[in-house]
Amino acid sequence: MIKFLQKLQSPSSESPGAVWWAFIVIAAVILALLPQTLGLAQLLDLSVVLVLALLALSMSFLWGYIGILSFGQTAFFGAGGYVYAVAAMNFGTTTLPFFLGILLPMLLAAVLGYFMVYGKLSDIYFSVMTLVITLIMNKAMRATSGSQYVVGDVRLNGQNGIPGVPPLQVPWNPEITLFIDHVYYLAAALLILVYIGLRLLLTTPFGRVMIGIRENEQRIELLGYDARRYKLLAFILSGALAGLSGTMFAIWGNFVAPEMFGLDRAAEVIIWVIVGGKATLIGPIVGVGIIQYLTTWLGMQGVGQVTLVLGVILIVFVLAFKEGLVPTLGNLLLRLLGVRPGGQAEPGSDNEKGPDV
Amino acid sequence: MDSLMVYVYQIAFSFSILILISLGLALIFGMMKVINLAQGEFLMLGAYFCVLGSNLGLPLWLAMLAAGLAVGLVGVIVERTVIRFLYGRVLDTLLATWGISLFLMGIVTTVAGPQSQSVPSNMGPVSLGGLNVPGYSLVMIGAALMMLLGTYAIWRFTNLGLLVRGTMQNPEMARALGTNTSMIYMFTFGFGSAITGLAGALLVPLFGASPTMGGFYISKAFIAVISGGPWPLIGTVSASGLYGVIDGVVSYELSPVLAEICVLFVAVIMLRLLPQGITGRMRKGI
Amino acid sequence: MSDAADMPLIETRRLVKSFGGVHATDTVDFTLKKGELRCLIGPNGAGKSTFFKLLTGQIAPTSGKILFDGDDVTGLSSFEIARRGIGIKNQKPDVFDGLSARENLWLAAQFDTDKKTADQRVEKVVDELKLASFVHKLVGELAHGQRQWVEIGMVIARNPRLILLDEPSAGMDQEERIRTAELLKELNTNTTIVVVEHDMQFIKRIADIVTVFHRGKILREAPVDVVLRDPEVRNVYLGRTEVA
Repeated sequence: MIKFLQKLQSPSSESPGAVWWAFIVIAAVILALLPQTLGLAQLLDLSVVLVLALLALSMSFLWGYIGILSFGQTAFFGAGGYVYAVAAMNFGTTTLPFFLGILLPMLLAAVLGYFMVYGKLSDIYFSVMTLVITLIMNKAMRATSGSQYVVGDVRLNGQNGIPGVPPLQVPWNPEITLFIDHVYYLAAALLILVYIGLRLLLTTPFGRVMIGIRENEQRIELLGYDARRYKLLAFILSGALAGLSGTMFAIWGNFVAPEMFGLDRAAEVIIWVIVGGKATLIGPIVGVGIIQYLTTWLGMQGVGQVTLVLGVILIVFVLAFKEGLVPTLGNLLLRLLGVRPGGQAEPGSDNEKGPDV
Repeated sequence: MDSLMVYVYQIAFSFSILILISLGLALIFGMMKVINLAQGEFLMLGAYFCVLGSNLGLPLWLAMLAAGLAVGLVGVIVERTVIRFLYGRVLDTLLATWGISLFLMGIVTTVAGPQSQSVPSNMGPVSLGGLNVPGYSLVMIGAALMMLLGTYAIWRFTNLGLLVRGTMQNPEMARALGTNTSMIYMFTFGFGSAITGLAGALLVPLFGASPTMGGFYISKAFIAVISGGPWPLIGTVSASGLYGVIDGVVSYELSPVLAEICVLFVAVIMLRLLPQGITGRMRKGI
Repeated sequence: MSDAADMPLIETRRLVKSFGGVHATDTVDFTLKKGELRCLIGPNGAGKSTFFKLLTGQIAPTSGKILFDGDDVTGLSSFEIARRGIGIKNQKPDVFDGLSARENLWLAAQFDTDKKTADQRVEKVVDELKLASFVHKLVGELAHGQRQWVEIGMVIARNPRLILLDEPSAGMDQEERIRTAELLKELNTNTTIVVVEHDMQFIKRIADIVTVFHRGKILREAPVDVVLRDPEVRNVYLGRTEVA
C-alpha cells in the first residue's frame, strides 16, 4: 500500500514497475466489467467522462510534463469534432474521417505552435494566445449559420451545430455501426492506451528532455537541446490527443456545435486538471469524473448557475489546493501511514513536480 | 471623398472600441504583470451597473460614471480577497481571475437573468459622408479618446501616477523609499477595473448588456494588450491603431467575424516578428 | 592540424555588452589557445559571469565578435553554441531539481548518442566524480556542494571541447576543493578550460596564467605570481583577504 502510494507520487522517469502495471490491469478489468452492471444511460454518462478525460490528458500532458499551459486545447477538440462530422457526412464512410479528426488538429497545432514557440513567446503570452485562438474559432463557427457556409454537402449551421453526425462504422464491415456500449468500450480502450503511452513516453529520451525543459529550460539549451523543437512536438502531440477527444465526442453525441470551442468548455478543462492535480496523469482523469458528476448533480438539485460554483471551485483550488486532489490526498494518506512523502515537496510548497501516474 | 469619410469613421470606431475594452487590462498587466481574465466580466458588470443606474432614474452619463466607480470597487475587493495572494505567480493569477470571471457570470445570470438589456441613448443618426451612423457612436469615440488622455494625464502629471510608475519599474526601491506598494497595487487594480467598468457602460447604448457579453470582447482585448507589449499606454494605443485599421476596414468590406480572424492572423505573425510586443524594445515609455 | 596548439580555440573581438547604458563587458579582446587552463579573477561585478554568458549565447552581445575554433558564433542560440562543444557550469547551481542526479547526468550524456553509450558515459562520470552515494536522489534535495558536483558532471558528460566553470569550488570544503583542482588538471589534458574563481590557493594550484577583469575590461593578463604582486590589481582587490 505504502509502496503503491509512493509510486503514485514519485515523479521518476524510470520505467514503471509491476505495481503500476497491476494498477492498469485492475483499472482495465473494472472498466471492462462495468457495462454488466450499468444501464445504457449510465454507460452513456460514463463514456463522455472517458472521452473528456482524453481532453484533460492532452492539457495536463503539456502542463505537467513540459510546463506549458495551453488554454486552447478546446480549439483542437472542436476542430477534431467538426472535421470528423463534416468528413463523415461527406464521405459516407467513417474510418478515414476518424483519422482526419486527429490529423487536421495536429496540423493546426503545428502551424500555430510554430509561430508561438519559435516566436519565443513567454509562457503567459502563450497561454493567453491559445485561449484567444479557441475563442475566435468559436466566434467564426457561430457566424456560419448562413446557407452559403457549406463544406461539401454539409451545412455548418452556425450556432445550431451539425446534428446527425454518423456513428462510427466497423472499418472492415461498414454495415455495422458502433452502438452506445461499443463506443464506451472504444473510449475506455483509447483512454487506457493513451494513459500507458504518455507514461511510457516519460522513460524515452524525448520524455526526459521534456521534463528537463520543465525543470530548467536554460540548462536544457546549454546542454545543446533545441528546446523549441521539443515544445513544438509536445504541442502537436497534445493537439492530436485533443483532436482524438473531439472526434470521439462527436461520435458519442452524434452532434457537434460551436460550444465545443467555447469559453465554458475551455474553463472546464482547466478545472478538471487543477482539481485532479496536474502533476499526475491520473489526477485529471479523476478531475473529469468529479466535475462531470458534480455538474449533473447540481443541475438535478436545481442549482441553475453551475458556472458560479465552478468559478468558486477554481478560485479555491488555485488559492488553497494548488497541487490538486490526487497529490494532496496521496500525501495525506502517506502521512497517516507514517511515511514522509518520498522525494516530494510538501503539499502547499511551490515546487512544481512531474507527472508519473 | 465620401468613401474616405466612411473609412475614417470605421477605423476610428474600431480603434475606440479596442481602446475601451483593453485599456484597463493593459494598465493592470503592464503595472502588475497580472493578466485579468475577468476583464470581459468587468466590462459586463459595468454595462449592468449602467443599466441599473439608468433604471433607478439617473441620467445616462451619470449612470455610466457610477458604473465605473462601482466596478472599480469590485476590482478593489477582488484584489484584496484573491489577487494579492498570488503576486509573482503569473499563471496562477490567470487561473484565479478565470475563476472570478465564471463566478461573476454566474452571479449576474442569477440576479438579472440571461436575457440582454439595454438603455437607449436617445440620439438620432448622423449623416457622415452619405453613411448614416448612430450619433452616439461619435460620442463613444470621443469618450474613448478622453479616457486615454485622462489616464495619460493621471499617470504622467500627478504624484499618485508617479508613485504608480515608480512601483511598476522597481517595487523594491519604491518600498525602500517608503511607498506602500500593496496600496499602490490595490489602487492600480481598482483604477484599471474602474476604467473597464466605464468602458462597459459606454458600450451599453450600442450593444446592450448580457451576462455572456464579456466573452465577445476579450479575445480582441488580449490581442491588443499582448501585441502592445510592456508599456501599457503606448502599447495599447499603437496596437489598437494597427488592429483598428484592419478591423475597421475588413468589418466594413466583408464581415466583423472575418475582421477578427484577420486581426488574429496579423497578431500571430506579429508575435513571431516581435515576441515582446510593439513596445518590447523600448527602454522608456508609459 | 599541425599548428593546433597555437590556434586560438576561443577569441573575442571588441566584445561589448551594455545593460541600460552600463557596460558590463567593455571592449574585451580575449584569446585562449587550445589546451590552456585559464583562470579569470576580479572583484564581484567585474563582468566575469556576464562574459561567460556571452560566450555561451545566454545573452547576446551589444557589439563585437565571438569566434570559436575560427568560426563566428556571435548571436547564435545557446543550444547551437553548446552543440559546437562549449559546456558551462553557471555560478548558481543550474540543474534539474525535480530529477535524480542520474537523470541529470543522463540528459547531458545522451544528447548526441544512443542510449547505451549514454549509459556508459553516465557511469564513467559517476565513477570519476564519486557520485555513487547520491546518484538516485532528487537533485533538489542535495547539499549545495553535491549539486555543484552534479552540474560539473553534466558538463563533463557532454564531452565538450571548451569548459567554462563559474566558481566551481564555491560552497565546497577544503578537501573537495583539492579534489576539484585535481579533476580540472586531469580534464585539462584533453580539454581547454576557463575557470572563474576567488580562492587564490585554488588558482595557484591549477593555473599558470590568470586574466584579471575589472569594470568589464581586462585589466591584466599574466602569470599568477606576477598578477598578485601587481599594485593595480591589489588596489582593485583592496580589502579582499584572499589576495593578501
